[in-house]
This record gives sequence, structure tokens and C-alpha cells, in this order.
Amino acid sequence: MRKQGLRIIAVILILLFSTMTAFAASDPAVTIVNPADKIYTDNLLISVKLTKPITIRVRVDEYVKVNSDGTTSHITDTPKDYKPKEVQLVDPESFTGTGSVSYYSKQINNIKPGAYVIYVDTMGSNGDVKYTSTKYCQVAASKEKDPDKIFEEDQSSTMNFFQSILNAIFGK
Amino acid sequence: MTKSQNHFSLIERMKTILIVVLTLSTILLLYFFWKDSSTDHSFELSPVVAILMGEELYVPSVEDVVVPQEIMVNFKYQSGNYTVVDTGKEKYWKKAVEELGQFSNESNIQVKEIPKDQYDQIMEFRSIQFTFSYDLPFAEFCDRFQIRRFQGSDAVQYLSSMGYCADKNDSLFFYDRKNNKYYRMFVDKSKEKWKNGFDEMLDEIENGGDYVHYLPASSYMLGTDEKDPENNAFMPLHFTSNLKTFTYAPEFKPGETDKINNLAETFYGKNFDFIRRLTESQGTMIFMYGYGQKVLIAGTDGTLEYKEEASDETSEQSFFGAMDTALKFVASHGSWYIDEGSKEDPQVILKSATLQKDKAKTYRFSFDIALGDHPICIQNGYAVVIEVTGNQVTYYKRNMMKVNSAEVLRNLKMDEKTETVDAVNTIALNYDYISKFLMKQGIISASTSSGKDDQKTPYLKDIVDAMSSIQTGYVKDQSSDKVVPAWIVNFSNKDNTKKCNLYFNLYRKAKAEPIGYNGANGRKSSIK
Repeated sequence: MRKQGLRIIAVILILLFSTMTAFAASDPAVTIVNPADKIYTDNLLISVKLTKPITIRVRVDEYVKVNSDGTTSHITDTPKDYKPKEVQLVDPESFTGTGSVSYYSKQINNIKPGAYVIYVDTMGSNGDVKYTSTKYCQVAASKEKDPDKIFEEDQSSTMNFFQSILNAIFGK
Repeated sequence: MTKSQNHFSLIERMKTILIVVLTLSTILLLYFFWKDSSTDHSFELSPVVAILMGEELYVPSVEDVVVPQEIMVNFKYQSGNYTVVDTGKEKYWKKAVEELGQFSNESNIQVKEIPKDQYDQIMEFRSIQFTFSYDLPFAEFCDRFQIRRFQGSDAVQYLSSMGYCADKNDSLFFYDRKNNKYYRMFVDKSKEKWKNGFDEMLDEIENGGDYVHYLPASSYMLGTDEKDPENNAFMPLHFTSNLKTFTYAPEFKPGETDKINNLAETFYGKNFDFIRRLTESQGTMIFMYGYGQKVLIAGTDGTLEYKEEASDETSEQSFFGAMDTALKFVASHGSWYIDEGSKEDPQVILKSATLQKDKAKTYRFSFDIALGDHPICIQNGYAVVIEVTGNQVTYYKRNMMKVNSAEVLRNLKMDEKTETVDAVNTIALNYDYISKFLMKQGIISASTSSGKDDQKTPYLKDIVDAMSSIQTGYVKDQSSDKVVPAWIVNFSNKDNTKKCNLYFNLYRKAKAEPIGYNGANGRKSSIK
């Protein structure tokens, strides 16, 4: 009993002081500036601001639905009756910042609507991962927008204004 | 009368007629040759005579020098797919002016002032925008560029930007920076939509090859919960360039009396009648007429400065008329050439044009020279600064250089491109330097900073707000004989009354180090 208790305490201490516990924590020197939580675009810009001269590794994954025939589909609705799978979208890239402020930027073109996650690993001098900052992003299809409507609202409010004047004059 | 007497009389009559014709031709020829001398009080050959006498006199036209600083293209609504036209701007602008001319011939054009928000929204669609770094008087622009002035067009006082949206192709959009107003000009919707060449332009840029992706500075640098910044300059994602350092020589050095005298002769004539000449101990040469009515100073740094008292402060000239005067004056007083051996016409860019408030109807124009569409910037000034009061040039400062432009242009065509420091990291690496400089210039203020919550970079949003454009080009290093490739970043305050340029080394090896600036008032400022 005593030995079992000591083993449990030892495991807890190892977990507490292990660098692996830092894996889940964000680096305060890293800010994922872009993308936003939800974007409407064909091209995904990833911009990461570093406020220390550190080395990062940027990974971009996508959540997909695995179909019965083994193919995968983008997820555009809330998953029902299936568990999404996380797959690598692009090869990881490393970047070393210089000075007190620097930016990592990358654009992934022709991206399809779906659910994506960006991981920014802060790398230690030994190649170990000290922190991981995470950003989830939903890429939605571009919202349809009618350019004519930008000016029609203005025209209709102008018409309503003059209509109200005419009504006041002629008592209609 | 006998036959011989008749014959003699005919000959005499023909002689008389010939003399009269020759006399009249001489008078007309003299008038033709000397008619331009009214623009300047010193005797000056007209361009035609100069060419006939073997002098190569290149006078750029207004149409050559009035070119947008930036042509920005948005390829698709919400695609995040933008580019900025880097080379060939003149070609696209010329086409845009032709299209505006055709548009002006449509019937029933309506002109309406619109809020900034509507302008920004419509430019989110597939569009092209032509933006100047100065404000052109719109009515005079129409007259000069043969655009019909239709009813309502006088509502637009100044042209600073012109935009076209492919998804709303019954309209053209305009921005008047001076009055901070936006306009929409549109044709009657019930009629057939105006057929135009802007769509072809967009297709040509999109399909013409690898274009460089640009994005707004706010996308790279600011959080998504930040409000849209004032300026939101477009920056390339990644950039390669083949601009290289090259050497230059000043137009003249101290002690090169012959060169200086040759330049001075264009102001005072060959004999220097009634001209006092002084040489200071450091080598500066001064030429003075009368009691300072006309003063020419040849500095030890290779610059030439000329001042002339305005003789008629009541005379007025139009904006473009004054620009014509300025362009011709420079051509005949030093020339526009930077390469004596070159047969190609130099590329002259108008950088700023202002009406001086403290002087009677005086226009001040600043010009730089470009090589292969890349401007050569001058520390603390411009290649040419010239003031025109009425028909008279009252101030002229010349800071030109001599280069082997043919070799530079050849290298531009042949050399391979190499990676540059990213535009965004050029700003980031120099964050402290930029924030201090802009505060010293009064363009941003610590007390009104909007980024107080950002402890590491509290002025970042202010810097993005103030940044109006970023492009590549060259910078002339006054302290050496080198012209260096650079990022040229333009900043301005909210009401555009203060502007400055900062220059940073273009390539990674040099780590985007600052290499100079052109202060808000064109004067050198100390930062530290």
C-alpha cells in the first residue's frame, strides 16, 4: 500500500515537472494575429506575431469526415453521427524571429470551406516543444453580396425622406 | 514700251515682291524663335531652336509625369487576392484616362457624393484603383486630358483616387483627399451598360503571369478585433527583387568651375553681364544679379539652388500650365538627363504638387527620376523642387546625379531575383525607430495612441494607421557614391498635412536597416 502510494506520488511529480506538460500551454510571446475564428475567403492568411527572438514551427491541420469508402470530405456543418479526423493540410514550416518583434506569414491559396486548426510550437534549443499556441478557424463559403444593394439602401432612404415631406405637405 | 523695257519692268517687279516676302518671313521666323522668352526674364532659346542647334532638350510632358503612385487590384470579392501593379503603371493609367474620356461622353451621367463606407464596400469586389500621392484639380484635369465636363462633374474638386468595380460597371468612383469626400459617377441604368476597357485591364493583370500577392497591413499586423485602420497600406506577402547597388557621380564637385559656369550660363547668359560671382572658402559658388533679385547657389554637395523675386504676383496660371512651365524650365536649366550618354528619355515622376498658402498663387512641384519604373529617392528632398508664380519660376532646387543608366537597366533585365526582407518584418524589425521618428514628426502621438493595452508594441496600430504605402526603389546615399535598393515606406498623419518617407535596406543580409528618410517638411530630423 505504501509502495503504491509512493508510486502514485512519483508519477504525479514526474507529470508536474515534465516538459511534456508544457506542450498544452500557449507561449505568451506568440500571438496568432490571423486568421479570425470564422472567415469567408478562398485564401487563408496565417500571420503570427513574435515578441521574442524564438524559433517556431507552424502546423496547419484540417478536420475531415472519413467516408465509408475511405475518402475524406470537408466539414461544413456540425458533425452528426461521426467523429471528425484531424489530418495534416500542409507541411510544417519553421521560422526564427529576430529582434523584439517579428512576423511569420503564409498564405494557403484556394482553400475549401471547412474546419482548420493552426498550431504554433515554440521550439527549444534541443528541438523540444516548449509551448504550443492553437487557433481554430472555420472557413465558410463567401457570403453572396449584391453590389447594387450598397447604393439601393441609400436611394430608398432618400425616397422615403422625400415621400414623407410630400405626405406632410399634401396630407396623404 | 519696247519689249526689253517690259522685260526689265517685270524683273524689277519680281525683285520687289521677293524682297517683301523675305522680309515678312524673317519677321515671322524671329517671332517664332523668340516667343518663349516671355516665360523667363533671361534670354532663352525655344526648344525648337535648341534642337536645331544640336542641343538635346528633352521636355517631359504633363501626361508623362502625372502617373498614379499606386495601382491596386482586387481580383475577387472576399478572396483575399490582391496585387499592386509594380511596372507598366503608365500604360494602365493611360488606358484608364481613355476609358474615363469615353465614359464622359455618355449621356445622363449622375454624380453623387457617397460615404466612405460605400466606397470601401464597393472596392471589396473585383476592382482596380488608381491612387495619386497628390491631389489634382479635377476640372483642370478634365480639360487637360480631354475629358468632357458633364453636368455635375464640377462637384468633384480634386482627384486623388479613381476606382472601377467590375461588379458595378455602370459607375466610376472618385476620392478627393483634400476635402475627404467620395463620389460615385454613374450612367443611366435603363440604358445599355457602358462598355469599357477596365475589365480587359483586370483580365490582363490577372492572366499576365505571376503577380505578387499583396494584403492589407492590418491583416498581417493587427488583431482581428481591431477597427480598420485609417490608411491600410497594401504589403506584399513575400518579395523577390533584382535591384542592385550602383554608383553615381554628382553633377559637379567643388572646384569644377567649368561645369558650374555652364549651368550658370543657362540662367544668366554667356557673358554674365551685371552678374556678381562669389566663391566661398568651402567651395560654394554664388551668382547674384542686382541686389539679389536673382541668386544662384552651387553647393559643395553638387546641388544647385536658384531664387528669383516674383515680378508680377498678380498674374495667375493654371495648375497644369504651371507644371508645363516647370518642366520646360528644368529642361533648359540643367536638363532632365542623368546619363549624358543615354539615348533614352529619362523617366520623370511627379512626387508632390501643392499650392503654397503663403505665396501668391505659387505652385510647388517636386520630381524624382526613376530607372525601370523604380524611383530613385533623395535623402531630405527630391531630385527637383520648383516653384512657379504666375508664368515665372521663382524657386528651383536641383539635386540630380550622373549614372550609367544603360548598365543599370541592362542588369535589371538580366539579373536573377533574390529574396528580400519581408515588408512586414521591415516594419517590425524597425518598430522602435519608426515609432520614435513618427512621434518626432508629429505624425503619431503618445498621448492619443490607441494601443495602450499592448505593452510590447503600444504604437503598432498607430504605425499601421499612418502607413500610406510601401514599395521598392532606390535611395541615393549622400555620404557615399552609392545608390542603394530599398523599401520606401510612406507615412502621413490623419488629415494628410504631414508626410514623410522612411527608407530601409531591401535585402536580408543588411537586415532591413534604416538607410535614411525624407522628413515631414523635407528637412533633416535627428531621431536620437
